[in-house]
Amino acid sequence: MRLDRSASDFWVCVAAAVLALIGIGVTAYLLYERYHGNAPMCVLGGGCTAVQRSKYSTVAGVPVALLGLLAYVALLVCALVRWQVAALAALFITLLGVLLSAWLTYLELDQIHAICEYCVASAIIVTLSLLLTIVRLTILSRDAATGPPLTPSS
Amino acid sequence: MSKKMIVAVIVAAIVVAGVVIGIQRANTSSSSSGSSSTYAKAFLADKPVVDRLIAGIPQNGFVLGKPKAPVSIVEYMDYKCPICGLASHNVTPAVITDYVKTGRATMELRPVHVISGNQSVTAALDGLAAAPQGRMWEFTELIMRNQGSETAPWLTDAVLTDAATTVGLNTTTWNATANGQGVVAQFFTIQNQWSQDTQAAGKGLATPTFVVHGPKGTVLFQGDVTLATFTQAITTVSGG
Repeated sequence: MRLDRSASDFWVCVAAAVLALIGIGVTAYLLYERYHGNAPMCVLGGGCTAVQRSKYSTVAGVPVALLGLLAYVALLVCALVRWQVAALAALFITLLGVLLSAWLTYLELDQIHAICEYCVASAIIVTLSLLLTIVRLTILSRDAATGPPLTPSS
Repeated sequence: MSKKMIVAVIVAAIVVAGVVIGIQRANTSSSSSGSSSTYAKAFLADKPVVDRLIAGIPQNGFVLGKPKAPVSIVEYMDYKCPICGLASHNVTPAVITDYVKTGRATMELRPVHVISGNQSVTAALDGLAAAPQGRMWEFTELIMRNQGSETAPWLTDAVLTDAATTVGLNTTTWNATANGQGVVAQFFTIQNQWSQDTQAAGKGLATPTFVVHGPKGTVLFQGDVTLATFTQAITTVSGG
């Protein structure tokens, strides 16, 4: 069976919501450990602790993990709301997330000399979210150009 | 959907990313300088006192004192712990003068994390990172003598950098060491050792914890102590 355009949009939103939930889990864990003064459980050595406790782990005093958590919560809302403005908001958040993740990865490699696997996971999640958002926008643009969605067909 | 709207969103995201990166760069570069802070002045004022206190005493990593000293004193301390600050003010100078300078004991700093919040952890990592450059004691003593409130966020990166600059650390190397995995591993080893030492003595995790070890045994005590406590412990572990 071929999925119609609305069904495609639905599954893209589901995938985006799943990614947002994973992102919420990752950032909430980092934030929890930060506020309890614990070291994150880093499978590949102590890089997470070095990154989390570096001076680059905050922006104007706000932990980067908290910014990430807020971004993923917003992405979850965007995935659940099937309006065009939600897709545009998701594009803004995911593009911002990809750019900031690239910056933070540069800092990890060049300044902190440690890699946090949770940060890498978040970078992958936000990049995949950006790709899904582009797919969603493409579907929405096509829907807008060709009228109401088609019915399911086999 | 309008292509113009999409382009506007993309441009907005790039601009906001630029602003966030700019804010972070400004904050981290200002936290690397900050030499005009109150703490910087206080550190400069205290430096001669600290220099005089440990002048002529060998310093090897975390350990102050002659390697062949029969007694070792380990201090588990938190940079934000007020009782540790009191010890630095009231007791440590006398212990150093009476026992470390005279070659009867060595004293070792082991920074741990007990005060809630991240600042004591960052300070511990920074303190450990000062050790390879032979300045851990100066760095620590300057901070402990100018300690702020336990609950206030006074121990910032700028203050730590001021202390590092005052004691003459190569701050580039120091930063790289503090952000490296080696120091983090040291920190966790110390934290575990502290846990084991206190558990073996039937005590809880409190700072400062002093462990005095000599040929006749080990004595562990904690909290607000006096020189008499050290004298008694050193006499006990030395066998009179």
